[in-house]
Amino acid sequence: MEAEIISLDDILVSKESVHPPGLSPDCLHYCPPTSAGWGIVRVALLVPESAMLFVSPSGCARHAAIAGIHLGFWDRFFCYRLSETDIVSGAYMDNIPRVSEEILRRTGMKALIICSTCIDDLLGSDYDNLVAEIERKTGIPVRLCRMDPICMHTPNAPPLKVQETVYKFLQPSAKHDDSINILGNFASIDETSEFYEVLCQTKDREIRHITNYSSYEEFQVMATSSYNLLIKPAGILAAQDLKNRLNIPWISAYHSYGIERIDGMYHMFEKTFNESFELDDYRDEAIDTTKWFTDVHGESVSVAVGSTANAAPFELARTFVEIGIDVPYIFADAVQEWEKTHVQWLKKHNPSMKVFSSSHPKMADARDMQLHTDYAIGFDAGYYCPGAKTVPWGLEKQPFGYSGLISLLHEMDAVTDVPQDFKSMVYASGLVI
Amino acid sequence: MDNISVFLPPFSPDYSGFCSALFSLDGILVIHDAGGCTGNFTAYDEPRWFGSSSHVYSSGLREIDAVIGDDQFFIEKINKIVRESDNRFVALIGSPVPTVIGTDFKALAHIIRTSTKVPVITFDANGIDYYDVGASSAFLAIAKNFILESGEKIKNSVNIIGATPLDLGNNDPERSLCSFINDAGYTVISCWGGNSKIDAIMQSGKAELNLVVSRSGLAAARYMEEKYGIPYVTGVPIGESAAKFFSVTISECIKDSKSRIRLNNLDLDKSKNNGTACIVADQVIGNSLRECLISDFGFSDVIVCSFFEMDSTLSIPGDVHLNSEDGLENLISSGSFDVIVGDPLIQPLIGDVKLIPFPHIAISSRIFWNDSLQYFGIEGSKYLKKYLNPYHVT
Repeated sequence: MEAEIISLDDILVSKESVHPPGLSPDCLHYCPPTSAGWGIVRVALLVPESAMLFVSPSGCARHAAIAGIHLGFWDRFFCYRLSETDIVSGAYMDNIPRVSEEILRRTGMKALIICSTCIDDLLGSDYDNLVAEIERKTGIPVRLCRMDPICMHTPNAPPLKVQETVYKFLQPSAKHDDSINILGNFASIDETSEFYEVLCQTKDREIRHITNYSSYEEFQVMATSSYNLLIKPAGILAAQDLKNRLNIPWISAYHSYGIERIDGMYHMFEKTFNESFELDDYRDEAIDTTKWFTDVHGESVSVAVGSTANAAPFELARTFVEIGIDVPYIFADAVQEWEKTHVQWLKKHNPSMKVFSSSHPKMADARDMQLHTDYAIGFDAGYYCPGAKTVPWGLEKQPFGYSGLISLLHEMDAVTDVPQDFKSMVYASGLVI
Repeated sequence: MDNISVFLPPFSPDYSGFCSALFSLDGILVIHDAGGCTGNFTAYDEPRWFGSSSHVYSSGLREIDAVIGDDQFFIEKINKIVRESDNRFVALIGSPVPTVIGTDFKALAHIIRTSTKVPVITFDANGIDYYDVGASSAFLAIAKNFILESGEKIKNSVNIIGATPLDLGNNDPERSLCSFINDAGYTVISCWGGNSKIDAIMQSGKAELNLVVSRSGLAAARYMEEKYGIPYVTGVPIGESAAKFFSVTISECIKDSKSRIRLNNLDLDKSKNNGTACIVADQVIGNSLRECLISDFGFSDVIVCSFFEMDSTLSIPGDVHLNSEDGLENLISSGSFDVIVGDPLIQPLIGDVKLIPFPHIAISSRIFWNDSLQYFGIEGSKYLKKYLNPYHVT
């Protein structure tokens, strides 16, 4: 079977407004070896000093458990394996408080997350009361999280809900300082980013991210910030909840690579904070780096952009085209509404670009097409373009601002002449479905 | 807390076993799920997935379809892909959500079979049972649906039944096993659970013997014994002694057409009293390890235990089915074992008893699947000896 190319026109007329608007929702789903990210459990366990009780049939918990062993959160992750009798009788709900107490006693953790799955959605299990009961009994904050991909195309999709769960542990604070929380991302913004210097040019403020805190108590300081900066769309429910409960307003500043869009983001910050930033040196460095890259690697260099990269694929593709680099292929499962402007731009400036949906069933045979590019950004692009030098550019690091573009180009340069064992790279990365 | 996983991950589920058994057979395998179950199989239970063009898919089940019981979307998606491909069959596989909503897979199969004229097999997986239940069901489905009427037997030929990576590992066990069998003077018609294609599997009825290499292959072998008169032997040739007697056992089995439950046909001599062991593994592989420890190293008492289903005809007194982590912990602490053989992840459950690592993908998934472990024939003895030195060398 030959893989289907999705037309840019079809993407533009897509009317779905939920997360993530899929590019091929009406077919069977192919699951390429590279289709994964951080995983719901790992995101939830970003809460410092937290443990999770995962309640599900055995199979649902397997990948999270293996990822936990691989990535080091296994000692905080416990699985309650449901039997058929449990599901029929619902008796497991009565056991969860006792098991929760035992987990808290054994681990000494300061917060507990109960995670349910698809079947509890259908059974209508009352976890809200259960969570309240455990909290009452243990005196430890408990929150509910759902790993229910059955709701993937709803406004309550699990990647959105889990971030809401994480920040629901923050308690209201009477006082607020000038600090800014960064939401939506799983690693803090790379320390080489100019973002920190820029935001502190006129005011001495802290930039806060959940990974900065090793204790539950320290984490609570995020409740005293005056703004939430949402740099990835999946944090939207968390941002809304923090506005409603903690009265912290949020600003959307989705992580981009294009120089003009980064300029625009900083100008938006200037307006919002009523401050003025000096950006020229950082901007010049980014422009110089793009010139250096195209000088060194020539104008005929080509790049495939994938959906597992730490980027919005259409925005990143546009960035490459803007600096004179050819993008023959994009691999994406979804297009965010805010990306459509970039799709429109690409349609005009790079009309020969081919878009594939990584999860389309015909992608099972896509490697037979022998797609060729010099570089692939993201593991999925690397998988479908064997032979390309792959820059995984995953979620373990969070590039941001001008330095994000600079780092990416330097990373591409660095892998140019280095032999790669692509398969080992994928498995070593600890991608979680 | 029998149903809580504290030290061991939840094991490979039934749908993974079913898909693994059918992986190489040119079929369209569709797990009726929201995506997570399929990802469990492809990313965590199937080391052959990377670079493969096998057609394993998720139905992309969504809440609204489950709530209103709309199966039509499922049927249409499958019909579409079947029409556009040249796959030989379709397998519909359940998951927890269809279990809860009571999806009638047999009816769906009938509808798809009628409209596409392609064979459809089904498996009501629930994500609760383990991989061996799924693999066993798949092998039986193969035996019942795909084997051509046997005709003449091919002299000195065997099928290997039950060779999924979930049990045999990821170090190309099929190649090693086939080469071992060929060296003994036999040809391999098909390797079920390995990389044989459907055309080879369809010729399985011509074999003179089935070599059952994991417990999952037993039901299919029994069916083929009854239906096609093919006797079977259970076991994997692990160790020097097994290597020596492999050819004799197979030859005798073909000659008298009687199935055997051990590869090593000799009486096991336990008189050397060199040690005691507990093996935690698939039952068939565990039995073969036991034979190796007794025959090659002079162990006296060796028990086999398994978290997965055990067949009473393959057990000896003392063998135990394990229901939980606690079960293993109690067994080890109450016994007197010199060594334990099992997946490295069981280490926290066995105290300070010496562990000989024997990775089992159904337990530890991809954590150790790139460890290159050779254990067929003399390599098996060499491997065990490495860990048993200097205490138990005979």
